[in-house]
Amino acid sequence: MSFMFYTTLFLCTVATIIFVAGYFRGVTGAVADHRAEDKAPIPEEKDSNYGVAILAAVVVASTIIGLVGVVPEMIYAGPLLAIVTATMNGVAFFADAKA
Amino acid sequence: MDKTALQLTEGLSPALGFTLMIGLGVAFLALAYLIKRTLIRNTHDFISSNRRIGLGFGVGSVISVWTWAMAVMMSSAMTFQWGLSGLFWFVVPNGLALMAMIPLARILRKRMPEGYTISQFAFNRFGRSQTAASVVTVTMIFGILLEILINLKGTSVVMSTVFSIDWRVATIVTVCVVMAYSFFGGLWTAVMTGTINTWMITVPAALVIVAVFDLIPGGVDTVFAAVGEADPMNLSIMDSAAAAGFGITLAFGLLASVVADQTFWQKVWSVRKDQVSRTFMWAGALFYPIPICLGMLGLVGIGYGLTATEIGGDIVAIGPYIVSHIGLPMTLIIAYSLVILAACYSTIDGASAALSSVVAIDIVKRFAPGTNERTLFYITKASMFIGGSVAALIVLSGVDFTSLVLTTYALKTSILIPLVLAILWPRTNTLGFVAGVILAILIGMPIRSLYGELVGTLSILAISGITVVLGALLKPVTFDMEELEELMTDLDNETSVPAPDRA
Repeated sequence: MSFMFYTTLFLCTVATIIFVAGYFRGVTGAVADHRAEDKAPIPEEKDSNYGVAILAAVVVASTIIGLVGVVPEMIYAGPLLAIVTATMNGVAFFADAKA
Repeated sequence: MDKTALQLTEGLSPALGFTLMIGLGVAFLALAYLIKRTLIRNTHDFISSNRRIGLGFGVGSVISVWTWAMAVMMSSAMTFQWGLSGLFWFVVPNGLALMAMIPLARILRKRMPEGYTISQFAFNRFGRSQTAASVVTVTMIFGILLEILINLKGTSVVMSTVFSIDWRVATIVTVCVVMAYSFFGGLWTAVMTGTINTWMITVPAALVIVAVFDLIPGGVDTVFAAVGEADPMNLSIMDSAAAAGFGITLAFGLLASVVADQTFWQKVWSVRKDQVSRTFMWAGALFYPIPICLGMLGLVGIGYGLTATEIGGDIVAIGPYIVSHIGLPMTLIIAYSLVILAACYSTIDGASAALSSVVAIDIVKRFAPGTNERTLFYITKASMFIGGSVAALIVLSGVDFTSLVLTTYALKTSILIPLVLAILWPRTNTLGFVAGVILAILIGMPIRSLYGELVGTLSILAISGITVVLGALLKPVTFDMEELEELMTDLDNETSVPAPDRA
C-alpha cells in the first residue's frame, strides 16, 4: 500500500479517537440529563442566518466535484473529506455545551 | 486498465455475509437493550427522546438516516453512467435538501414546541381537518414504507453480489435484525446506533476508496486518463444531458423526500430546541463528502470500460462489483460491506421510529384518544414490526415495485409546495391545501406517465402551487401561526405513566 493509504489510515485513526471521545461524552451526558430529570429551561435558538453557510457548502461541494475533472489528485478529496465528516461529528458533541 | 484483471475475490462466502449482518445487529441489540434500561420510561421517551437530543447525536443520526444503502451505491452508479455531471447532480441537491429544512424546522419548532408529527401540524393548522391530516399521514406512511423497502432491496443487491447470498434470504435476515434492535429504545436507539453508523459509513469508505486507487497500476492518473479517453464529457460537470436525464427531477424529489418525511420532522421535534437549525446545517454540509467519496468508484468503472451487462445488469452494482473484484484485502471488502449495512440499518431503524410516532400520534391518539399508555406503548412497537414486515413482503414478492416508488414520489412531490406554503404563507387554507395535493396527483400523474419525469415533476409542482394560491383567493382567510401552540393536543400529560415493562 502507498504513502497515501497509510496517511489516510492515520487520519482515520485520529478521526475515530475524536469520534469515540465525543460519542462517550454524548452518551454520558444523555444518561445524566435523563437521570437528573433536569427541567431547567432551554434557551431559544439564536436567530442566526444560515443562508451564507448553506451557499458556501453548496459552492465548496460543487467546486470539489468540478476539480476532480481537472486535477487527478482531487480524487482523494472525497475520502479525506469523509474523514472530516466523522471528525466533525465527534467535535459536535463538544460544540454542544449541554451535551 | 484491463478489465480481465477484475476477478471475484476468493473467500467471500455466504457464511461471512451472514456473520456481518447478524453480528452488526447483535452489537446494536446490546446497545439498544442498554438504552432501553437507562433512557426509556414512557411513550414520550420512545418517540421523541424527551426532546433532549443534542447536536452530536442530532448530526450523526440525520446524516445516517439520509444516507440510504441505495444512495451509497447510486453515487457510484450515477458517476458511472453520466461521469462527473452525474455525481454533481446526485450530490449537490442531496445536501441542500437537508439544509433546506432549516427555515421550516425553525418555524414549526418555535410555533409548535410540543409537536410530534407533521400530520399533527396539518391537523391543527387546518382547523382540525381530518381530511388534510389524513392526506399527510398517508403520504408519510407510504414514504416510510418506501424507505424501508428500498434499503432492503439495496442491501439484498450488495449481499448477493459480494457474498452470493440468496437475495430473498438477505432481505429476511436484514428486516429481522433491524426490527429486533429497533424494538428496544425507539428513537434513542435510532439516534445512537445511527450516529455509530455515520462513523461506519465515512471512515471505512475513505480507506476503501484510497485502497482501490492504490491497486490500479498508475493510480489516479491512469483512471483520470482512461475516463477522459472514454468520453471527455465524463470529466465535466456541465453535461446538460445529466441535468435533463435525472438531475432536475432528482433535485425536487430529494427536497420532497426530506420536507414530506416524518423521519426528519421527528428529529425536528426531538432535538433540543436550541440545536435544531445547527443540526440540519451541520448534517447537510457534512453529508456532502460521503457520496463524493463513494462516487469515485464510478470513475473506476468507466476507466475499466465495464458495461452494465458485465456487472449483472444493474448499474447500482458498480460499487460492490469493483470492491469485490479489484483484489482488495478481505478486511477492506468487509469494511465496504459494513458501510452498506450501516447505511441500510440506520435508515430502516430511523424510518421505523418515525412510523411509530405517526401511528401513536396521527392514528391511535386521534381516532382512539382514550387509549391507555400500556396499550399505546405496545401499539407503537407493533407498528414497527408491521411496517418492516409489509416492506419485506413487497420486496420478497418479486414484483417490480416501480409503480409503488413512482406513486410515493408523486405523493411526496404533490405535497411539497402545499406543505411549504402551509408553514410559510398564512393565507394557505384547507381547500387550497387538500385540492392542491389531490389535483396534482390526478392531473400531474397522467402528465408524468405521458411526458416523462421532468415535465411530470414540474407539472405536479405547478398544479399544486397554483391550486393553493387559487384556494386562498377563493376563500380568503389568514391563519395566525401563534395559535398553533394553543391548538395543540398535549401528549406529554398523557404519557407520564411509566412504560409497562419499566413499571
